[in-house]
Amino acid sequence: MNVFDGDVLRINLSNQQISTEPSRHYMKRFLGGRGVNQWILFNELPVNTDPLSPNNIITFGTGPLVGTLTPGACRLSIDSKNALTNGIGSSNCGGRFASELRFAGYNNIVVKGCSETPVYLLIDDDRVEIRDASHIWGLTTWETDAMIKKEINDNQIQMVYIGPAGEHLVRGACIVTDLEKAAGRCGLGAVMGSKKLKAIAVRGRGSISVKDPQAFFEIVDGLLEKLGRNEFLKRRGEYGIYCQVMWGENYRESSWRNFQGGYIPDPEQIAMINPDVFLKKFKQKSLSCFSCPIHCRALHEIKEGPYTGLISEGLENNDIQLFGAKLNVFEPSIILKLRSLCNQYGLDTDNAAGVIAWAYECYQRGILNEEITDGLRYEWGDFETYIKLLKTITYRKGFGDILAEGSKRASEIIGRGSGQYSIHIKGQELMEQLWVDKGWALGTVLSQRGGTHTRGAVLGSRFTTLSLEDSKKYYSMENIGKPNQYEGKVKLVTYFEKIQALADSLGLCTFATMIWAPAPDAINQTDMTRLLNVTAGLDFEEGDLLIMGERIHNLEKAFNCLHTDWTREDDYPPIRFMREPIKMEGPLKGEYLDVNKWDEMLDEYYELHGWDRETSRPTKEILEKLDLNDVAEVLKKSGKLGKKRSGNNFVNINR
Amino acid sequence: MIFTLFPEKHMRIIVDHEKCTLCQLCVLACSFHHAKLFNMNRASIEVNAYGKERKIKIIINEQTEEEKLACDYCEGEREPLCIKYCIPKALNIKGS
Repeated sequence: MNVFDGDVLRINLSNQQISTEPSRHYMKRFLGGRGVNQWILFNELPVNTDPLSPNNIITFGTGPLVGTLTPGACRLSIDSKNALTNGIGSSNCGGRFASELRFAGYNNIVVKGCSETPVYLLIDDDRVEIRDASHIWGLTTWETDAMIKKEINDNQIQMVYIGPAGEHLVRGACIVTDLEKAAGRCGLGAVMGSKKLKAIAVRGRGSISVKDPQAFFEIVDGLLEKLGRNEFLKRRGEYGIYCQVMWGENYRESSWRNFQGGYIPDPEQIAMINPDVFLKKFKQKSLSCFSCPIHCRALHEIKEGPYTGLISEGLENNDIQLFGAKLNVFEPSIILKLRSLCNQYGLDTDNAAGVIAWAYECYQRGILNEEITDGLRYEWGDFETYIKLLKTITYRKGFGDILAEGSKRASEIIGRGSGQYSIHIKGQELMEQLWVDKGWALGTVLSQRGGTHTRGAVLGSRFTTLSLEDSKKYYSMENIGKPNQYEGKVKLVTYFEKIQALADSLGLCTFATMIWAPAPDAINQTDMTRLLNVTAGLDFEEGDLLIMGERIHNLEKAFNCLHTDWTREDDYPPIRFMREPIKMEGPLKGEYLDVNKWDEMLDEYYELHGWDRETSRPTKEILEKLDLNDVAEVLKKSGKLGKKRSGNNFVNINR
Repeated sequence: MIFTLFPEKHMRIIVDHEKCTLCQLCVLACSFHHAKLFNMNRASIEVNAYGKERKIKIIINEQTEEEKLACDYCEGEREPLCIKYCIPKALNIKGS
């Protein structure tokens, strides 16, 4: 099949119906992956659906470039209604599942309804089976991987699965593929669990063709060459995803103890979690996702101490921030143990560490005590208690049942002023520290899936060495500026939102794009356009593709308007980042988010998007401009269209 | 591991399993050489990982088996495509 061929596979678990339809007509408007998934959700998901009810829909989508030789084209976007926020849920993972699904002839899987008993899907090219999973239910992700491979006698079958956390409807549960690659955020594991869908296994033997092979190979060769000389990617390939000292002289900002203070005070602790320690003491080899030359997934092995023999793949910056800075564990082998446990239970590390940090700060401040915590003393850094908590959250035992709801809901249950220590965005735990880097803060807070830095955030420190020429050529900015400057960041965030939507919909890993690997030696929008044109035989111009990215972004915004009551007020950062500046001596001391500046950024952001500055909703005009007339009509009927306004509409956030 | 593919030409493909990162670029490129499209089952080379250790096994078919074609050393290409697209240099050619 050509890259623009392939089907949408539809499964209804309530009545066991299986059907297919061509996906080309969806792809014309929304490309693939995240874009097509989101369109199906917007179009087919009833308003007021509980994310964990049978009415919710979960979609698994690959992009048109997946299954070709395109570097970094490996991503699977999983989309649903968010179990934590009620808005859009969207998360993606690498590995080999997406390409295998394409080789089986499918671009998207749409799962509706709910099975009465646990099941898994087996897709073997045209043959699609709903299979009993009673004997697998209850197993960890690693056990599930081994069990299904054994059961169907295929060691190389590709799978996505949930662990016990998803089965127990933990709102921060993730979906895992290939043991330790996770679609982490948005509680999508709980959505699968609510449908009693333990896993999807796929084997594809089909072919994918490209329209103009000669032109395609020329582009691929050029991309491999430039990605190969990107200094940042070289480092990432050598060390793994966690490859930079995050706490260098100028960027020692951290999520210390649930974001108290903003830095790690002890240099010895910082030294303990230096990337060199993981490289020299634990790294065994580098691994890649499908069709990716970057090989950023380091495989670590613990060779001494209580967890000797543990092998863990893909240590991330997040793990260091979460278990190191946020929860104060500085022994590298324990960090590896904690992240590995999360992957085995099917818990998203960001959400798990976030809710634990909230509980610990509440305990520190006397809001929680042993009567509530099942007799456990919460002392920062006591990893044995963290291990116990990960288990009680996963199985919803004792206080773990409340923690499994996420810190926002948990604080509503506990009360006693605990809500102010729940550091969340729209209901989802926050991993990112937001004091210093203004483009990072804005992109993270405005991410439509409820926080997270992978929907438009600009990691300013990554661009400090960018030349003015490259800044203008690739990012349309005269000067990207210092990370802690407000000026210019809004424009860049709105641009990154489009590029990210395109990457997620084409199936490209964002690490290979100029969002994370600075230009010029990274995949940019020109490359994306050329790749799409020569593989699919299309005639897109760069501008067309950027409009496509903006369309997908607006589609998600429209979903959030329809399914939530979010307004401008929900687009502010947690108050801690505005009221409690960084205390550390040095260049970052006193950094914080200024509310007036934030208001100015919001106004500019809505203006650039063509959204209503008071309600944050998209206007009819912008939706029609993006060929989303049908979406505008739906919002109009629901009374959720934005209005054109003038003047400022600042919200009083002195709450 | 050494695959002696063309003894008459004194050419061999040397496989260093330790360097392989499992990216499959070689398999994709190989299938394109044979079939002018991408298909993991129509390549002469197979790269798989086993177990939690991700122990990597690379096999190059020296004889045609069903759809899997024997390696022809990328006849007609400037160099074997698997080697060209092996970024971590796990595949190398020896001989001329």
